[in-house]
Amino acid sequence: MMAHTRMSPRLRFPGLAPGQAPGLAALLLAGMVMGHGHALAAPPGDKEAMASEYRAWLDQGRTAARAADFVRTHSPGFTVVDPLASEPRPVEPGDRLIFVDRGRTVLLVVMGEAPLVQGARLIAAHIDTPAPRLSLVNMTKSGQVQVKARFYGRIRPHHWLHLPLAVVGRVAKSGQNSEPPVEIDIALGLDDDFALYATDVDRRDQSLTIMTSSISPESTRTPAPFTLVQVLSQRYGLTAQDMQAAELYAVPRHRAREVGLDRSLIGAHGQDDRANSYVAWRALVDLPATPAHTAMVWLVDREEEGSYHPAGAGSRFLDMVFAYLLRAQGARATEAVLGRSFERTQALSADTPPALDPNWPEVHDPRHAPILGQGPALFPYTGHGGKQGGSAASAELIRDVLAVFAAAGVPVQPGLLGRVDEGGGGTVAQYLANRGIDTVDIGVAVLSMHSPMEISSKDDLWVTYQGFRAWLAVPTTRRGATTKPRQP
Amino acid sequence: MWRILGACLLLAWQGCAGTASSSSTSPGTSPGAPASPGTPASAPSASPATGPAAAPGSPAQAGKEPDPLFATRGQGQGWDAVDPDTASRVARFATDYAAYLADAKTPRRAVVGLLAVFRDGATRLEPNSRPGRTPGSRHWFTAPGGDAAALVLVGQEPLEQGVRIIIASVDAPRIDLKQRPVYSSAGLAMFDTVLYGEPELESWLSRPMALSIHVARPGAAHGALDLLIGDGPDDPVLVIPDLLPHLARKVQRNQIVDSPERMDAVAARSTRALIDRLANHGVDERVLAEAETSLVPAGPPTLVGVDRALLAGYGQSHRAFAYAAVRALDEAPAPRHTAVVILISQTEENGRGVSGIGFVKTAMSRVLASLSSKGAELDVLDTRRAYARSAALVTSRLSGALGKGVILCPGSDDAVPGATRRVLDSFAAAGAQVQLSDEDGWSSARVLSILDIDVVDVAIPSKGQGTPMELISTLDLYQAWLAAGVWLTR
Repeated sequence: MMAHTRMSPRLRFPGLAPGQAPGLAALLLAGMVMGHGHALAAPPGDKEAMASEYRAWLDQGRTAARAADFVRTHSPGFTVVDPLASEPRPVEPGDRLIFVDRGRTVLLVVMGEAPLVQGARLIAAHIDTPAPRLSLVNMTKSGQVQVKARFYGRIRPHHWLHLPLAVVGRVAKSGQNSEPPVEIDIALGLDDDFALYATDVDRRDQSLTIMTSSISPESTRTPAPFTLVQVLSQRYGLTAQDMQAAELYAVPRHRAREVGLDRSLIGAHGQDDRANSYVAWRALVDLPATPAHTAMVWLVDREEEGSYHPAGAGSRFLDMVFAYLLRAQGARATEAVLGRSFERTQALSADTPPALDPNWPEVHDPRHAPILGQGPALFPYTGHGGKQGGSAASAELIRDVLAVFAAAGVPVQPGLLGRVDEGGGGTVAQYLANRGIDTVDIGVAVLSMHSPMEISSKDDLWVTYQGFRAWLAVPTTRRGATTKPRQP
Repeated sequence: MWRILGACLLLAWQGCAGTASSSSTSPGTSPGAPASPGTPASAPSASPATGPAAAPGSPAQAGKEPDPLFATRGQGQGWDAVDPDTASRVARFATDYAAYLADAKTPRRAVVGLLAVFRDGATRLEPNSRPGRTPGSRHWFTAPGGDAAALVLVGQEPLEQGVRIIIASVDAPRIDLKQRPVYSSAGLAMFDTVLYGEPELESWLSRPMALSIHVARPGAAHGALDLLIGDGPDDPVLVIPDLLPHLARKVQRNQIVDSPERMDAVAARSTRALIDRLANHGVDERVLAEAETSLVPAGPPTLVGVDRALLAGYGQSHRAFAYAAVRALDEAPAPRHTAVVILISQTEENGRGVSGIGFVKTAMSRVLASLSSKGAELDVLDTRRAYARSAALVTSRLSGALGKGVILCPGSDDAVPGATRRVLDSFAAAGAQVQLSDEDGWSSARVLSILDIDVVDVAIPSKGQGTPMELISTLDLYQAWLAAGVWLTR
């Protein structure tokens, strides 16, 4: 179907620039050769341990691809499977598998006691995040001192001006189709003693101007001044031609920080939705025993642009993995069987609702806006202008989810995305629901959302982790069981 | 951190064989620095035929006859006029400055940092002291609040012959806490805030902030409790939240921040937790009512661009010139006329208050009274003569191009052409480039001119004025240092 660079033992860890943390890179490389993830940490014992690991996740997973890499290399006991490479091998209850597509969407699976045709427990979250994306049009010009950045996802341009910025992303070098892309890091690590800086926003053009250097290369100086292209060439061996196939984002140079004099909150870029991605992934990895039904966590890319991408929630990657596992269990993976498996699957769409903003209370519905620190928020529906363009969850599903969270001692608060007449938004819930999977939105709330300094609560991360872990472990309630039992 | 920066900075200029040196802020320790900014190695002559910015060896449009009416046209400007040796000096000066700026988050801290540069060998000038006038001796004193100061280098001529002055402000827009700032909203403990100066409000949203608390404590060291929480890499920070785009469509359509009352900061999970943490720092909630409390941007300044030619940092549009002036004063040889650098605050609030523009008069009175050649206070005639023979530069916030030199603004300050010419000539003698601005508006130079002193506005060009990270060129900073050195001693 497509030329792809799926999991292969030749994949090297592309996350860090040369000279950065070689110990970590070597460790990750070792994990790659074995085809297994490498555990760097035991399950977090308390919310502070979790918050500290979470900050490391945010700092290392600056792009969807890096977050996917982090998951693939930090999941102990999981085997990486390429569903395209070979005939499915038999799987046993308790088997732990990771499926990766294009290096940027990850589906983690813990096989349950019941066959997959009985349904699964799925949590979906996205690992992409809104950020300025460098425009390639003028990346390939010679002698440039500034680059233009377009907006990936909905950002507020004023947040990105006058802020020390770094550039992260990847470049596919020309003539090297079989090689993984080159990971780019400029001004992010401590080795770089400089930042990039956006001076202007063009609101009509929807773009930012980012200064990469300031001494004009056309000047009469000798030697000629240093430019971004020279850095890319010296550091990564890239040419202007290579830069035609690049995906580069501007990210804030600051790392994840503790917020509040009591250090109870976390401030960082990218928490929408790497907050719930992290919590869901941790919950699955830390499942203590084989669950009754197969438990899955799907981390997707491109949610902020509408999920239209082979690595997005709208893609058929989930179907392919289901089909692979059905065949691995000896079932026929026909559309009908796949459909029945989906119908018996229950899913949580774990995305970040906006927390009540103390400075702008009037845009929220005061009785339904999530409050930071009071547990995950459950949205029966998303959309704009009320319920337009979103999916809605059934009463039965909401009852089941609330019961599991209550039994785990996790407080759940109701959530709505602002006042009906102020705006709205969507999540990946509809893409799961369109497949026939019963889905409800529930997730850690975030304040100052879609900004370079989103704020979450350590308490929320911790209790949501407990809730997700409990929910993944309980048996799926069979849809339609009260009316007419179905046979697989 | 700054030592790393210092070492790396020197590698920035390709081909300049700078040896890594420590980034000490103490004056005169940088190897290779010019002995005096007044005599830079590459300073061209001030002959009007070559103009102020003529760089020796710059390939000035070969084959073209220079137009005598526009002597500087076509000659190397900005970075084109900088040779590798100068570039490494520019880098070294920027490193020293960045180390200073990192700690200068409030006016008090800015003054403390500048006194540290100058204070070696200087004596404190008490109100009624008569230390005697020894050429080359150094003196300093501060305003009662500690956010204004005067630094004096005594010259050979008596004070009645006039003094050379640079008045530099050290305050910057910021967000202060109100007297009873703690309240609870949306399940969070918040700090109620009030603006100081005119911060560019939207740029202060959704970014890490540090909290500065200054409480007068007669028993404590230096008589005060001085906290800065959030500036260290592992400190907790505060954040002023902003709306997500999904819900900002209506309320932020015309103006992103419609009221300064929208600028309250998330302070903790609960008021109890907040009050407990403040108590751990030795601050009672009630003490906040008498303290100076401010939110300032967290973290150090940073070089900008892969060529490291710019520098972004908080509060630079004034503090950069203040640093350049104090470094120049510190490194100056005994001048003919007494040289004074006066650091003032409150300029963001139109200069009112004891540490504002009024401090210039206070400071000059004390200098004239204590250091006069007559061993007694000067009479009115001598005092008026001293003022009338003096000349001052005052820092202002002016717009101009980065990397094109120090800005003068003859329009805004009503400076007479003679006063402007004196400044231009001394900057030319320093080899410093000058750009002119035609901004018009409130100027402290106008206010100060009623003291009978010729005052001219100067500025280091900056971008992002009033934002948490203002941007300047390291070259302009360096040139301000050269210019200040010549101005104070010529």
